[in-house]
Amino acid sequence: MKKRVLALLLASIMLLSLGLTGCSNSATSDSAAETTEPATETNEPVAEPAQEPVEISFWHGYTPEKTEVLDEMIVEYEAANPNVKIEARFVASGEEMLQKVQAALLSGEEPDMLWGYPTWTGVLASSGKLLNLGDAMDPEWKADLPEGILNAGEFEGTIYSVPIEAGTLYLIYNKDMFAEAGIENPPTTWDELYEDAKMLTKGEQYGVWLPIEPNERTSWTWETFLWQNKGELLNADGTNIGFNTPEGLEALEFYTSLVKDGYSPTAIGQDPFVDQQAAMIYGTQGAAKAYITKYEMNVGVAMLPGKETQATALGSNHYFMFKSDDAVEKATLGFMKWMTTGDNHAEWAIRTGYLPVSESARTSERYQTYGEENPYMTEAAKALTFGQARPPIEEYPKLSNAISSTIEKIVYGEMTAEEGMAKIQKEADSIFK
Amino acid sequence: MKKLRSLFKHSMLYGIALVMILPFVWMISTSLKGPTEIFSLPIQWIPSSPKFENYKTAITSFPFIRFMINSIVVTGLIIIGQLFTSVLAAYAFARMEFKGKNGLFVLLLSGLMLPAQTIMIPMILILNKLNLINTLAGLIIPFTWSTLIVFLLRQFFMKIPREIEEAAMIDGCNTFQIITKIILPISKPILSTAFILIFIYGWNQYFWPLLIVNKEELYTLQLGLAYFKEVNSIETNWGALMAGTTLTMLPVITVFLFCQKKVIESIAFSGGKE
Amino acid sequence: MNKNRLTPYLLIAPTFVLFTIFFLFPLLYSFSLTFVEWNGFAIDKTFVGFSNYMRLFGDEDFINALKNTVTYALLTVPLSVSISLVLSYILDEKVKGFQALKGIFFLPHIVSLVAVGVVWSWIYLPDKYGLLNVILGFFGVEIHQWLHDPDLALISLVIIGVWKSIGYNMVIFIAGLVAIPKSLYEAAEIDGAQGLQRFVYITLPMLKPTIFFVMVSSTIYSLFQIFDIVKVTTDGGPIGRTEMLVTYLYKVGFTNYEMGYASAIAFVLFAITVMITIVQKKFIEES
Repeated sequence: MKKRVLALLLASIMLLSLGLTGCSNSATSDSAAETTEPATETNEPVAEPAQEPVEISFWHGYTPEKTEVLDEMIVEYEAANPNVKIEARFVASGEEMLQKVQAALLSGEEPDMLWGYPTWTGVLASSGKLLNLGDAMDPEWKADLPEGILNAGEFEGTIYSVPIEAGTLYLIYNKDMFAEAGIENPPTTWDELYEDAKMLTKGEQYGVWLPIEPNERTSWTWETFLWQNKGELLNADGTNIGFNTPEGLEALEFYTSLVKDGYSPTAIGQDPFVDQQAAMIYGTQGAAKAYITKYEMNVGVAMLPGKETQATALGSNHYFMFKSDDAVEKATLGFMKWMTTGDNHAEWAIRTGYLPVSESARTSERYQTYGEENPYMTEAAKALTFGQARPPIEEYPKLSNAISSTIEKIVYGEMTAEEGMAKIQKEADSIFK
Repeated sequence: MKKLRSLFKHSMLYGIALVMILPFVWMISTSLKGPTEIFSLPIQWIPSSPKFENYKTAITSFPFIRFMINSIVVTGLIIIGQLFTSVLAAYAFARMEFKGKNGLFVLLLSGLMLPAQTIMIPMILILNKLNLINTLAGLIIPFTWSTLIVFLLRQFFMKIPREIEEAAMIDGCNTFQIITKIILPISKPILSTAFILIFIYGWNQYFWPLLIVNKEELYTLQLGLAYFKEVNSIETNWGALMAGTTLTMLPVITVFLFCQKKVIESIAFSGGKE
Repeated sequence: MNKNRLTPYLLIAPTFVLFTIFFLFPLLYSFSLTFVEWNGFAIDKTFVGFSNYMRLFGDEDFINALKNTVTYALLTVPLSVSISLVLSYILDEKVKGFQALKGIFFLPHIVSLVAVGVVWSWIYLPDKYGLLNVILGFFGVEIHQWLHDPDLALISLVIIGVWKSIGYNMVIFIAGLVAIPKSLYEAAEIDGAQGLQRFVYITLPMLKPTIFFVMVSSTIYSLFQIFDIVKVTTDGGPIGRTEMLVTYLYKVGFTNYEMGYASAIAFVLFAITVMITIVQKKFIEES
């Protein structure tokens, strides 16, 4: 035992010293042993700038494929701006990122630039360390971004984040199943949706999939029904929910009835659309892209069926900036603008499958051509004009939880839609106090 | 009769083993599949044409070797640290009488009873005060003690006959010598067990490394695996995730088999009774 | 003499210094958080006295999570401990092939739950999509919805929990069994005891401290480790049937941003764990 421990100790010390030397020079150059790694942020700028470049640390949660695109764009940016060096890094995805940021804020190790969800705006702003981006952005840049998404990053009257990419829900349908059922066109109204779903349901195949799990996706999907029925999520002054109304109740009833009547599955496979379990789903353009390119399915897309009006939900990812010194803030702002506008942004959107957020990117020649070749993207982009964003209030996560867990309970027969609405109202009263 | 019973016993054992190993078989099979095959119905046990690209993706999407070295260093030092602190404390709790012994032991036991998420905020504050954030030491030092290992070793030490020690004490050995010369050699089975348990603990740490280090140079393998996780499951690269997980498990299996051999061998040493 | 009296304290010092810095301080700090309202990010915290604790009584979700947690532990711990005890007793014999079997039983403890949780959720997929249904269907068992079935979801998680913890318990039992002097068995054999008798009259009493250890650690594992299992498989659903205290406090703290209330839940969990440990100690000592 003793001998083993000793050997291990020696080995560890050797390894440790190896690890440490690795760290100390990493800021300046790559060790030769690691040249095999793919394009990451460690690519050195070719040009030798006269002065020390400004370093920006940037945390994101992109997949390896998207990270690769980002890194290539950063190389391009750094080549054009030799005085800026961007240390972009995958840190964590989803809620884990927020926890990571929380820890970083406690120890003063927060990055200069952060990629995340607009729902974080409230809590991040309360730390007092977020930069007021609304003031920092120039008017031309602001005008280039649609107000709906820009406002998603607003908290108590201040804009704290810039949208970098958007996603929207639309109807994705399996063309083969539609043909088999003899349906020519995708549904455009609730009634048609119900009828088509009914016709498409047979055996183990369901007409549509509407999520019922107690999570944000369920609330997000349901909110589109609320908006289509001209309901409002919040009341006029934002002090309580605004959907305890006949319109709201009807949306709740319709949504849950599709499931209760057996046209939407309660238990789903890995992915109900890939598994051919459902003929229609409410999904994002990212999902549509995956179905078409990765899973090679015969897919059609359409706007969500409407009721009183056309509506869909708009989701976006945002850039946040933490306060720093002037030079860093300025450099970060420059990079953000470069990424979110014009041809660069079109390039980003095209290569990652997100929807572009800025007008200048959408109208760029590059994106127009791309849209013609990929109609499912243009269809989604149309949705941007009537899409609604979730309110950037601190109470939203709790409200969302109340909605989705109620939907689940109604579907499982624990309560009626009326009782469900009463339950949401009761919870909302305590959420909004 | 005896034969029948043995047959029954063996078939039961291998039956359970089959159930236990099933998820891993599937994990490895998934690691060799392309995206469409992962979802294909009916379920495919054996990929039609094994795709080793997933393994390539797994080791090239992040600096695999560097993360591996970090994992080895961090785990190795955590093992040394925990064994060192725990052997001493366990000996004191098992063998010595002192004021407050029971109270202190119960207090130490409470160290098992809060989930990590609960103490996250104060932990980060303390690590920051000690300048341990963003350091390799920060991934090691806070984890060089273990209630569980003290507890485990104590149970074992208590069973060692006292006479052995008393003989040594008469020979003039001090406490430290008794521990290293008498106790440790006959505790090989439990030390090997402790070794493997700490190894797994260190190797699989994810939550704390995620919060403690920001520099990629300091990342461990488990943090690397997170690169493949996507919130949206349809866009997750399952093949690569499973390939990466499989690779990450290999060292642990090797160490486990080695340690179990030690446990068995140590019986021969400790008494040789048949 | 004086030196001797200090020795035990010197021996426990390294552990206790680290324990104090990295557990006791954080624990006390977290305890202080149970009296405030705080989102975890803001500079200011609001003192609210005992209201976080009062709130627990009226919180249906909390009571539901408490109920699930207790049910889960009561099912998982005895199952896992008894299965692993029997397994390790059988595997203690020197038989060819048993070494490999030990390796297989231990595998689930090795792998991190993040990846294997995903595999399990695939196994449990409903209808024809899930492996379990396919296999059971082969034996003529009807199809179940497993994780989507409110009545089966918790049981499905118990199976994962037992699967995951058997190997860990087994390794500790094996270490305990190895330490039982073989002479005891020989003496018993002369007295005519064999098989089951041998197990009941020699093995069990000799293993008592080990059993206590395994019970305590399994309980704690079942209370805390369930976090990862739930996160990757059900996220608390369907209709809250698999929501556990650990997952609930995480939701409260990191999704709803109520750190104070989350801390209060954590301390209730803490109290429960301490109580269970004491009961187990009594139980083992008296049986």
